[in-house]
Formats: sequence, structure tokens, C-alpha cells
Amino acid sequence: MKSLIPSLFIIFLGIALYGSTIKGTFGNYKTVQQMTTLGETTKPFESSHERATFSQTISILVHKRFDLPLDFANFSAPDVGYHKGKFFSYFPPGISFLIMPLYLFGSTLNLNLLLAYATIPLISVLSLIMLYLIASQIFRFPLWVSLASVMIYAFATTSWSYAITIYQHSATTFLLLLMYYAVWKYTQAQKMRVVWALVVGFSYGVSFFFDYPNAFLLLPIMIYFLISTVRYTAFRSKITVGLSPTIILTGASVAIMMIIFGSYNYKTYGNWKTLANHLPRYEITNLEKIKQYEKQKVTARLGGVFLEERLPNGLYELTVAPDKGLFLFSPILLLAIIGIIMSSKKMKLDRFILLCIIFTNLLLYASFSDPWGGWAYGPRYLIPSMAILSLFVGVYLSSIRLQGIAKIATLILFIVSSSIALLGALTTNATPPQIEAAYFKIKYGILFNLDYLFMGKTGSYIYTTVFSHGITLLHYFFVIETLLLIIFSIVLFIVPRIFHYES
Amino acid sequence: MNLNLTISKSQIYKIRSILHAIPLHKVVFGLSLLLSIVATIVYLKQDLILAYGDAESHLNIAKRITQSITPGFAQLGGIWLPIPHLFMVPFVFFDPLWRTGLAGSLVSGISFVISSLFVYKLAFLLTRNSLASFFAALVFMLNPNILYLQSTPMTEMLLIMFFLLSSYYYISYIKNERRLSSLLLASFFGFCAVLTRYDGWFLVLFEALILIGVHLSKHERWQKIEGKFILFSTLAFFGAVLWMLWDFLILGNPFYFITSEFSAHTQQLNWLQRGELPAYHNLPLAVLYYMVTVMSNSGVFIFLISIFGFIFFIKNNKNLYRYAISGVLLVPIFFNTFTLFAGQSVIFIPHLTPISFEWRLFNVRYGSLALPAIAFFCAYALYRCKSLGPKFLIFILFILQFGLYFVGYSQIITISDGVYGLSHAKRPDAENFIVKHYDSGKVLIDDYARTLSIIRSGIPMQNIIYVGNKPYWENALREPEHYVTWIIMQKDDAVWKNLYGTPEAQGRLYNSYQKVYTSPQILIFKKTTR
Repeated sequence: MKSLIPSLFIIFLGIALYGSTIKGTFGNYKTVQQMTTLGETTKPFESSHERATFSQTISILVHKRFDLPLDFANFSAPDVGYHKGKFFSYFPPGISFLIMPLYLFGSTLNLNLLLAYATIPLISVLSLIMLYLIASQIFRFPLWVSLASVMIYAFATTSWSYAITIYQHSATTFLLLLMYYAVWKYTQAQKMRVVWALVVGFSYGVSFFFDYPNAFLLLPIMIYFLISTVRYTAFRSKITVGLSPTIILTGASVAIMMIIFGSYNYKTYGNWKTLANHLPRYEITNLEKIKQYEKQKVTARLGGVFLEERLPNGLYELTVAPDKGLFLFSPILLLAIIGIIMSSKKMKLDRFILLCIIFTNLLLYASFSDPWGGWAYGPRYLIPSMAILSLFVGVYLSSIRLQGIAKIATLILFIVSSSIALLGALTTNATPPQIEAAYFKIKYGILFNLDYLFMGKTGSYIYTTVFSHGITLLHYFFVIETLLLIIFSIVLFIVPRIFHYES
Repeated sequence: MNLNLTISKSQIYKIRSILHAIPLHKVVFGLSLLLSIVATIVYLKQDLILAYGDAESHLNIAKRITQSITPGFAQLGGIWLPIPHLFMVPFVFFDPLWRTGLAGSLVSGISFVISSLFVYKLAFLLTRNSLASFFAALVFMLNPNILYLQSTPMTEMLLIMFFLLSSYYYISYIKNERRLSSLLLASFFGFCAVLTRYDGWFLVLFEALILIGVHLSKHERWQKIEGKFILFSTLAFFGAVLWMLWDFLILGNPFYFITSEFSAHTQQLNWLQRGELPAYHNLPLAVLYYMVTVMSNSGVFIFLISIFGFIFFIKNNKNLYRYAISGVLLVPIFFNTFTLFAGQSVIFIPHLTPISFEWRLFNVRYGSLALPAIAFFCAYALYRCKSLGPKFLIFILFILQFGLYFVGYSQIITISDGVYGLSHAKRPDAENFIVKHYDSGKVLIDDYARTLSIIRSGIPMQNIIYVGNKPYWENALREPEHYVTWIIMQKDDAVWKNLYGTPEAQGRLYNSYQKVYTSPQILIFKKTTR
């Protein structure tokens, strides 16, 4: 019950702010002709990521097939694979499945696009609740710090841009936080341990459907769980090492999900090991060419996708590069470094596991062939780490001695970070990497998006349908930003005074 | 209900005492010997022992000391330091060992076994913990790059051995100054390192400077410090003096190894002119290049653990000599960073080298020289972790590192360099021709240009005439028909320039020789019988 009011506050804030920026439009979208009208920059189908995912949903629900009809394949290219005369979305099917219920519900209201897209903000709000629970229960932050951590992740990082459209990162983050919380609950609980163990197993298994690298990204939590199942007791002259049988349940739930995952791959790509993004890529013009090497055996191999030699460039791109760097797009997360240093003196296992996740996240995607995440706003692959880093900003806020100065520094960085985050959420995620921008002689990074803000171009459903006739997009930006800053200031400066007993 | 395993404390103590009774240094010795033999057999079967161009050159230098048209120590030359070649002499005498490269593998393999043992001993000296020390030895012994290099005739393994021996005795002396014998041994092995690779020169210089620093920090009398400095330096620096004297006597220039056309510095100038010496006069990039090379040699996870270990080591206020010890162990990092910065060496590594460069993989084996330090700091991280969880994690990461190699995430970069990097030995088609057609007679070849492999060609070393065979080389270039039956030349090498560079030279050549092999780069002539 103690968490109820803050949770309601988070739900309200999340729905309000994500809702104010969510991409979408009125109407039911089932054909390529309809969808093509929304394909320009800032609109719901600005990237092939969104096109391929949505096309797969329509293929399954309307055309009753897992592969994409040719017109949908052309619409979704180049994020389309080709296998034995069929076209497939290049992404695992998780998001396509996830948006189905609200797509169907929306179809009855002539709002299938908007409601299908609304699935992700709802998942993101659930992530915020999980983050709050972790902050308040595991990190034992006072209320204001917990709320500040949640707000920093939600509205002062580029996670915002991906919480309002159909990308996989919000779902991954939710599963990560849920698993982490479940393991912790498992270690604390006297009852319901079986339930938490099952949550851990199924969440891990489900995560494969959202993003293939989740198998590695979430592995530290599985190790955390494994360690938690071991009990060591020394009594009199005997030492007992016990392993909880719940681990069998967790293992079984992972196995079940892996069987389903493998079966899906087998049914669609003809091999349980073959992943969508290992199929030959279809780019409209190259169909004849890929037919020639179609017979080549295609199976997943980590080494080809992730390579050590890409690490230096990848680390640079993901952390400090002007086009994608985490600390340039979300400078408030620099405070997390201080938080990590503060934690390092008495590092507990639960916090150490979180650092391992950040490390795994960085290592994986810095070694990836495309650390930029294509045309994307900020380092989108690091969104799970952004959630964790916001917790360490909380460590900084709760542990530092000079609270006044610390809060002012946090507020200033929040103003900058949230403005950058809102800019991306209101305009476009299709921001080019520096290397491509140089080739096309266009801007990159924040400057690229600023132009769209000044031009008044946005995909925001609320703005385009409600406010566009009354105020400019720039005004809309300032209204949201001002509201956000007022709420964050209240959280930083007023909530601690009201609930001072908590600290 | 739990799945329990119960054991009495007395049984645990029993197991512990059994574990403690195991002489781990003997285990290290046995395991390293076994690994050395297995790795060498594997790489021999894969034909990788002589993958590096330099590998054959080292063997050939040793071979020419005893079997050449002009045998003798002068064959050691004046660029590469002599100890690796002197150690190979007893083995290269036997042709099968020379032609397979095993003569070099034996030297590197023995160095590997001794190095593994001294990684263990060094870690034990600094931690007094046998399990952590064993872990250090494991990190070192199981490193795939080390296992490869120890099977080749390259000089890295030998230097690592002398580096470890010198460092071990040096640190032993620092910890207990009454052990003057340790200082003398450190000095002796420093002397050996000096005559093995130029990295050794930096080692003894650092050791000497640190020696002064350590004694000054204790506010000792200058005369005492001076005495110890001289005691250490006399032997340690004698190697450098000896080498310069050798260069002066044999080649007429004590600084031949720096200034000659064959020196590393001259070679780097070519890269500089092409704008492909990235770390030259760029300290951050020099540091980055070498550290990334070390990371790639040690493995990402191992490198990361060692960073933590280093931080723990430096932060340990109880160890008064932590800076001095770290300084000695990190000499390879200082040396290589300096040489990259100064343009005395070059490393190309795909992690950093721009795609526009002609070559993106070269000399990455230099990173292996820092592996003793990496292994020690890894073990130190394990040693300093108090609870089981972090220890378990370090062990998991250690295992996972092999997984990264297995799935192809990381490559064994020293092998890659030997197979498709710039360090690889060329295998021209001309080699096959000479294997099939060479019957007898002297052969004129510019070995420095590495036209083809003498080892693989089947030609006896006594029948080779190259730049080091005075006066036959000069005479053969003037009047080849009086000296050689075969002439092998590569475009623009010394033989080509002298015998094929002008129409007149060509006319004279064709008068006595017949071209028996032609390729765009290599020509082979055989003396006509009249």
C-alpha cells in the first residue's frame, strides 16, 4: 500500500507525458497504400523498423500468415529477410505479437494504429513502476529520490523517444527490471518463492522474442538468480550447501519458452537455430541476387554479428560521440558515474549485478556491426542501461553530503537532458549517424531534430489532432517541458520536506 | 525442501589440507610442459609455426652461424640482438628441426615453461597465496596468444622469460634488501633481456631508476645508493655496451642497429612518408594503440579483471613498494607506448587502424609482452576479493573468455597476423618451382627481401649466397657466372638492381643464364651448361 500513491502518480505522469508525444493517427490501417501516407520523417512509419513490425502484425492478423506479402515486404525493406520465396520481418516477432490485442481493440474504434502504438507506452509505464519498486525497496531510496530516478529515466533520457513507438527497447527494459525485481523478491520472500522463480524463467524466455541479444543481456540476472538459489549453512560441525528445487522450475520455464522460440524459427525459417536477421537481406532491387545464394546454410553465429575488433569505435559511439553518445544526449547520466563510485566502497551483489548488465549491454552493442542503431535518436541500444544508470543517479542524490548543490546540479542537468529527450520524442527517431550525414551533407544529432521542431513537423497524435491549430510545435514543446520541470522541481525540493520522515 | 549436500567440517579441513599439500609450482611446471608440447604439435600440424616472416629469419640467422658458406658469429648481424639466435644454434644444426621450425619452438617452449613457473612465483612472492598464484599461472599459460607464440621461433617468449626472471629477483630484492644475490640475479637476467630484444634496455633502465627511487625514499646515504646502483647497472648495462661494441667491430658503426637501412627506425620512416604511422608524436593514440593491443592479446574479460586488480594493488597502502613494483611490471607498456610515440615501431590493429590503410594487422604480438603483468593483476584481483561471489565471478569471466574465442567474437590475433597480417610469411609460387627443380649448386638470393622461403625451398644453407656472405655476395653480384648456378631475384631487390636493372646487365646475365621461371614479381635463372 505504501507504494500505491507513488505508483498512481507515476502511472498518471507516464500516461500524460507519453500520451502527449505518442505517434499515431486516426483510422484503421491495413493496406500498404494507407500506410505509405505515414511514411515520411516524424510520422509513425518513418523507419523500416516500425514498418516491418507493423506489417508483420497485419500479416498475421489479416492475412493469416507469418511471412510478409510482397507489397508489405517492399514497404518494410530493407529490414526484410528472404527465405525460400518468402519475405520475413528482420525483427523477432515479440513486438508484433505484443501490439495485437490493442490493434484488434483499436480496429473496433477505427483507431488500430494509435492503439497498437499505445501498447509500448503502457509497457513503458510498467517499466517505470518496476523502476520505482526497485528504487524504493532494493535501493531503499527515500520517496523523492525514487521518484527522481524514475523521472530521469522516463523523461531525461532518449528512452522517451522509444517509449512512444513500436521498438523493442521498452519491452526489453521492462523484462529486465521485472526479472531483477523478481530475483530480489525471491531472495526476500518466505512464501511465493515458486511464483517469483517462474517469473524469472518465463521473463527470460519471453525476452528472446523481443530481441535476440537479450539472451546475453539478461544473463547476469540469471546468474544472480542461480547464486540466490544456493544456500550455505554452517551448524555445529557440519556445513550444508543447498540448492533450491525452484531452480528446476525456472529452468523448465526457460526451456518451454526456448522450445516455442525454436518452433517458431523452424516453422518460419525452416531451422530452429535460424534467426530472422540472419536471412539474406531483401532490398527490393536485389531479389534475383539473393536467390542465388539462398541455398547457403544460414545459422546464428555470435562471432559474425559481434566482434571484439569493433569495441573501441563502438564504445566511443555509444558513450561520447556527438551523433549518438549517451552522455551527450543524456548528460544527467554523468551523475550516475559518481553514484557508481559511491557504491563501489560497499558494493553488494544486487548492485554489482546491475553494473554487470550495463557492462554486458555496452560490450554487446559496442561490438555490434551497427552500434549507431541505424538512423536513430541517441544510443537506442543502451536504453536498458539508462534505466539502471538512473538508479545510480539516485545513489548520488541520496548519498552526497552537499544536498543543495547536488540538487541544483541535478536540476540543471535535468533541464538539458529532458529538453533533448523531448525534442526527440516530438520530432523524429530517424536521425542519421555522423558518417552518413557527412555523405548526404545533412545535419546529425540534436541539430538535425531541432530543424524539425522549428519547422513544426511532428508525429504526435495529441498535437496534430488537438493543438496544432492553436499553438506552434515550439510552444507545445515549451509547455510540456515547463510542466515537466515544475514536477521535477517539486520532487527534488518539496517532496523531501513533506515526507522528510522517510529520509 | 532443498537439494542439500552436507559435509562435516573435519572433512573440509581434510580436503583443504590435501589441497594445500599439493605442490602447485610442480603442477604449474607439469601443466605448462604439457600445454607447450600439445600446442606445438597442433600448430606444427596446422603449418603455423613458420607463419611469420620473421620466424624463418631468426632460424636462418642461427643456422648460418654453423652452416653457411661463411659460417661464424658474424652471421649474427647487427640489428637483431643475439641471444635468441645463439640459443637456437644447437637445435638448428639438425636439419629437420631447422626446416620444421621446431628448433625455435624448443627455445620458446622452454622459455614458456620457465615463464609460467615464474608467473606463479612472482604472484606468490607478492600475495603469499598459492591458489591466487596458481590462477595467475593459469591466466598466463592458457592464453591462446601465448600458447601460439611459444610454439614459434619468435623472440617474444624468450624476452618474457628474462623479463619475468629479472623482475622476480628485482622485486624480491626490493622486498628484502639484504638479499643482494637477488639484485645480482635481477641484473644478470636484465643483461640477458638486453641482449634478447631492445625492450630489455628499457627494463634495466627502469629497474636502475626505480632502485635509486626506492633507496631515496628511505633517505639512505647517497654513497650507499650509488654502490647499489653500480652493483646493479654494471652487469645490466654491460649487454648494451657489448652490443654497441659488436656493431662497431663487425659493421664499423656502434649505432648500426639504429641508423642502418635495415633498422626498425628506417622501416618506420617509410610508413611515416605514406602517412600510415598513426601513433607517431601522438601520445594518447600511442597509449590507446598499445592498450588495445594488450587487450586483444589478453582477452577482453581478462584485461578488465586485471584493471581491477591493478587498482586494488595501487590502493593497497600496506604495500610500501606498490608503485615501484607496478613500475617494473608495466615496463612493456611504457616501452611500447614510447616506441610507438617516437616512431620507432608500428602496430596496426583492426580495432583502431583506419580502413583506408593498406594493412590493418601488423606487429600485434607486441601486446603479449604485457601478459605477465596482466596475469599477475588478474590474480591479485582474485586474491583481494574477500567473499566467494566476486571470486566466483572472476572465475566465470575467465571461463567465458574462452567462450569468446570459441564463438568467434575474439580472434587469436597473433595467429591472424601470421596468417593474413603484414607479418605473415609470403608463399610465392616460385617456392614450389624451386622445390621441384632445384638439384644442386650455389644460389644467389637477397634474403632481406624475403623473396622465398629458404627453409621450404629445400636448398642447403651452405649453398646460399646472401648479403651476409662476404666476399661471395659482392663477387657474385659482379660475376655471378663464377660463383652461382641459380639466381633468384625479386623486383627491385639488390640482386635485381645489380643483375637485371639495366639492359647491359641483362645482356650479361642472359649470356650465361637461362630464365627458368617468370612471374610478375620473381624471376629465377639457371646457369646454362655449355
